Amino acid sequence: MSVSVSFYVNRSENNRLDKDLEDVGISAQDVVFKATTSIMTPTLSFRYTNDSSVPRYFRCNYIRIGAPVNRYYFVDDITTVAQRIIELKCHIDVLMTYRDYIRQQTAVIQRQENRWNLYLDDGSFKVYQNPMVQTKLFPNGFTTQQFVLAVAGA
Amino acid sequence: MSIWLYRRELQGGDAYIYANDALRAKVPLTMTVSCTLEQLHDTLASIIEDDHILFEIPFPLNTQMPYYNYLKQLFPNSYTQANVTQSIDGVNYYSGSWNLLPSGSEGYYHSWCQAKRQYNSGDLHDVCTVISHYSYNSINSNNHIFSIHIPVWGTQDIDHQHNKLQIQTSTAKNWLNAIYDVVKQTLTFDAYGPNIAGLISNGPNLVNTDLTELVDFRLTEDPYNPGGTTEPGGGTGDHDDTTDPIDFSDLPSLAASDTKFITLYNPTLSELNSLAQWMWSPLCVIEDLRKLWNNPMQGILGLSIVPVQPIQAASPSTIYLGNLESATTAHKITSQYNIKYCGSIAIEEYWGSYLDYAPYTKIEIYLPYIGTREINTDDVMGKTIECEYHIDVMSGACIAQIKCGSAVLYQFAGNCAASVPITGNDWTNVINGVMSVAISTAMVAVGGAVGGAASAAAAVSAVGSVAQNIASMKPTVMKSGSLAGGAGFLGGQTPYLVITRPRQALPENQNKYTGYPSWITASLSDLDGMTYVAECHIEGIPCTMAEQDEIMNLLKGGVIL
Repeated sequence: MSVSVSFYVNRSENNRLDKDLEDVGISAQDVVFKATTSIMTPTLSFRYTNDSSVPRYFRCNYIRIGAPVNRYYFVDDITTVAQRIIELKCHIDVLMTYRDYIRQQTAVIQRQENRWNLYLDDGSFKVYQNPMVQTKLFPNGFTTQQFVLAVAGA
Repeated sequence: MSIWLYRRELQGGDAYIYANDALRAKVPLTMTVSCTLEQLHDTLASIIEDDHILFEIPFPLNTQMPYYNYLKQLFPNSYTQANVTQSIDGVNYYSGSWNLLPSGSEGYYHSWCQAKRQYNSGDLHDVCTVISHYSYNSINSNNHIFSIHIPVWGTQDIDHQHNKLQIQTSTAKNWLNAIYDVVKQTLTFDAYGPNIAGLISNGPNLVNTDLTELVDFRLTEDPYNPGGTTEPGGGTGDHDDTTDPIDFSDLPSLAASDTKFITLYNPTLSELNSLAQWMWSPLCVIEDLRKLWNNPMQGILGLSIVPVQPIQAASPSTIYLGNLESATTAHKITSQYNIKYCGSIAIEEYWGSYLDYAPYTKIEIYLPYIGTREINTDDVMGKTIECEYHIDVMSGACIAQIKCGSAVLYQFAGNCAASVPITGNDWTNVINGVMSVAISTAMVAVGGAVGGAASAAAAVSAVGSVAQNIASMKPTVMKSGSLAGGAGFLGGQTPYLVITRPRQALPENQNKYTGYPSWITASLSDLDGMTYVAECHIEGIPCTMAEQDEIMNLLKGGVIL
């Protein structure tokens, strides 16, 4: 089966939902999957015809495989296997691929950058070994000394 | 002795015993244990109290048969009815009934009578069905057949088989047949009886063929019987978070001086000097004194120094020792009790996080004439603390009440009177009292210091200075012992708080990388930034299972939305 592949440079964190992708301006048609390959970690190979585009292939670290696959992938490795044949080892980026569906999910959030409650003790904060010691005086103390004489009788 | 009851299935000549739907043992068709009729009676009687019992016994033709007395003991108001004869498959059966209730049975089922007994709930249930059967042909007078059955509410059928009549229900749980030999005093779990229809058919592989173990297993109570299903519950708390205010207590209404047996004065130093001079002067007439005491000092019950101004009369009055008028005056103390209000302190959060609370932040309070005490940070954080002393100037007893917000949560007792020795005995008592206070003060507790240091080092190497570890490893040190009496006068006179707060090591923008604790339910579309999901039901995504697992793992490991 041959598919079309778009090549990108991804500068976003791998765990970011929406990737900031730079289109390197090249694409490949008739890209084929290596025999016995997984949709999670596919290996693709394709033949390029223009030598000048080779540097851009090697810049890319991210691809999108078109129909019928329609998924985004990280490029793990780029290999030249023969003259003008490049092989890409990839693994799927499920976050980018299904980002719209993922946003529709409802979840119990354990930690969050902007919505938090610091009164929850999750043991994540570190402290120094030397604590602060404060003293707070009450406003009034004992200021006098008086004799008390107890005698028998009224 | 008690008897476990099992469901039993007969397969290929062996009996498979099930309890709690688990195969417990496989036994030959006949197994005998020794027990006296009394032991059997005790067991069955205890079962009757809590459960339903079905008896199948040979019909007691006369009072000489042992089970007749046995049944009469269990059901003293019961009586027998006339026999009814049946002939089944060429075998003659003589049957009768044993009615449990003095008013007679409430129904007939074939030749059997059922007796009903009322439960405490008011509903009539089949509590106990006693079916009796006697066969001339095959049952000798020494064999008494017992069928112990715990029925459930289902239809009852009668199956005549062999020489024994049984009761089956369509939803029976456990049952067991046995024959009790009165002469041999043995209870034989016998082979009579078919499989019970409708029960669990095939059990698992055999687990036990040891007869001895089976006997012991049987002769103990079945902890799973009666079992039951768990029920839903909970979540019905009233969410009442109202709190009643607890103010400082009132002073006592009765005072020692009200008795007129003693009088309290608040003399000045010069007045005391005058009194002492008068007591040893010719003005103090010894002859008058000798009518009352041998020693003028006997008229003085005590002299002490207190740290408060006692409530006194407006004008001084003559000091009387008993009814002996002295040449000295002093202000009478009109109220034995005093209040010393020390004021309030507002305790504010420093971090605005869990670090402001126990165990991370510690709060201790120093109280004059009492010492240093630890109070629970959670009780006072974010509240105003008030301190008030209630003092008995006669004995020196004092109590410091600590009000946290609207309620007095802490009360610590001490003594604020320093005795002034005026006799030789007084002097000895005062010195001994001071020594005991000094010894208790010296016994400073340093808890967990050595062990804490070693474990602290290990914990730091593993996880770093996490707040939890630090809080648990810091040793607790007593800052003072008892500061009662004279020692209290030498100590601080103003209460104060000692607040030990952690110093947070917070890297810049930590929330951007690790997030902060959240624990909310939210749609991911409403969030942005670093997000760690605790739990999510991923649905509606047209992806493979492997992709779905990958999504869940990433969400839990942290994603940037």
